[in-house]
Amino acid sequence: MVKSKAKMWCLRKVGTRSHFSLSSALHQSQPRSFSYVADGERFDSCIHPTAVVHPNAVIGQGVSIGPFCSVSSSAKLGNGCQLHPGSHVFGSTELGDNCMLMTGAVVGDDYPGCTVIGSNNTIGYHAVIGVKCQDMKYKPEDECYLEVGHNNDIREHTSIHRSSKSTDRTVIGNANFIMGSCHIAHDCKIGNNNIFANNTLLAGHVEVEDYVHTAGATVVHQFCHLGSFSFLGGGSVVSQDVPKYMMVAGERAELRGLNVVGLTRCGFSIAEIKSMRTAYRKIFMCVDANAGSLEERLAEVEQHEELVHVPAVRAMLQSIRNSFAENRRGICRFRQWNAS
Amino acid sequence: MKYKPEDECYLEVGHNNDIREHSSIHRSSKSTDRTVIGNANFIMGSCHITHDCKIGNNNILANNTLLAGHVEVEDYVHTAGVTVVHQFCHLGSFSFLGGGSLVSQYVPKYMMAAGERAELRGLNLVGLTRCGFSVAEIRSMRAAYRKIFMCVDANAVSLEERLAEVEQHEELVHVPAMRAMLQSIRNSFAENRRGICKFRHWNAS
Repeated sequence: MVKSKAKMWCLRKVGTRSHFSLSSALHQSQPRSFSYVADGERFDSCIHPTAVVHPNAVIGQGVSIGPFCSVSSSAKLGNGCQLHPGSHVFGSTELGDNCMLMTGAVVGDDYPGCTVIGSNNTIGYHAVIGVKCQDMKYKPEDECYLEVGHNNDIREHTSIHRSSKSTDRTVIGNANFIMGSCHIAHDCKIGNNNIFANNTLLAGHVEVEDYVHTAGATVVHQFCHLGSFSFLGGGSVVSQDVPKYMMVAGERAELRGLNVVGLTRCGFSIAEIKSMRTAYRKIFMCVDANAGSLEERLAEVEQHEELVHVPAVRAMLQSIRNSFAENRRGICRFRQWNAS
Repeated sequence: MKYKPEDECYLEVGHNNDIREHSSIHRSSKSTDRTVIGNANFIMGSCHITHDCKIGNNNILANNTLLAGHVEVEDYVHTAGVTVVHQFCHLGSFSFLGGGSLVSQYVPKYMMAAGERAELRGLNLVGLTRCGFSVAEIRSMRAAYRKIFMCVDANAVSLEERLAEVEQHEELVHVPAMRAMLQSIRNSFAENRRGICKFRHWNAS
């Protein structure tokens, strides 16, 4: 019984090998755990014979480059990077340690400027990262930049563009989960720990703080600002700022209360959430027929002797006030409950 | 769905187009038709242009714009992200479609449409200015737009009568852009067309 099982396993192995002969050389020579570099140990890189790697490229240790990949003269690959078949690194591009480019991924572009990507990033199948932007004012001779931090998961068919001019950068921080077919345009600034569901589109100069969560097919207008811990409903068109901790949804998105689920998952206490809810009601759901202006309601919450001591409430108020600065688009609409 | 693999199908693309990553453009669905894209269009990432579309020149289609079968796009049309256009719709020159819109009827020349089931939202003033229309021309177009779509008269007559009234207007009738606008609206009511996008009657209350 045991012997026959072993035979079946062997047969499957043989079949696999004969069917994928082009990659067999890579698989046979590939160390089992090449991304692990222990003290004093060194692993050679594995470069498939059909890959085209420029002699000036800087290749770290334990790098795996699969069939039909290309690596440009100005590229730098950190230790333990894996380039799956048919992925490409163009132009002046740096990858940190342990990055993985899935089949068909394209990173970098042969234009002035550079793309710098940190460590432990995954770039999914046919994602296109660090290419020239779609700003109509862009000039090809201008240097443009993209910087990506560490531990990001960028899934298939996502596009991320460089800045539109040399005085700005597109920046993505750490530990973001950018799902399939998302688009991040020129000069966006993305913080850390954000989750962008499939087909989220961020237009130029959009700023996203931390722990923001978008649902599928969310569209964000240029220059909008998404506050930390906010949630954007699926299919929303967001044309104004979203304050911290809040939910928005709709075609021309409106505020829909606090992001209670997100806040709970991120560890805010029940007391904190209760305070935030009280503040939200005072600011946006005032039923008093003599309700003052938004500014007056903000001031009232600031004077509230219990709420004012909760850091999250102060951050919420500051977030709302920031959106009324000179160069900002204001916050998303909210429905006045005393209208009738 | 009616496509037969043995039929000959065609795609023609002109000159100086920029077609960005992850876009898809399909051939025609039968041998008697073609998918046609003209010159100097900017088709941003993840757009989809499907069978038998006719795209003119100098259009800007933002990311994830989806054009269904037989859609016609004239010239200098600008879509914002995730615009979805219903089959057989017609987008007139110099029009603008707001982000996230679902366009299920015609957008006349020079106008803006937006919304889930898009509605007219006035003239595309920014686009017209950038494309070089004069202040006088834009003023005339604005006057015509108000007469046609923003009639506050309690005795408002039908759209057809308002179009005729503008055609009789002795100042407006001499502005070529005006005549093109009127013709564009009239064309939308031809037998095989889908009519223009809804507009909000301002005399309702």
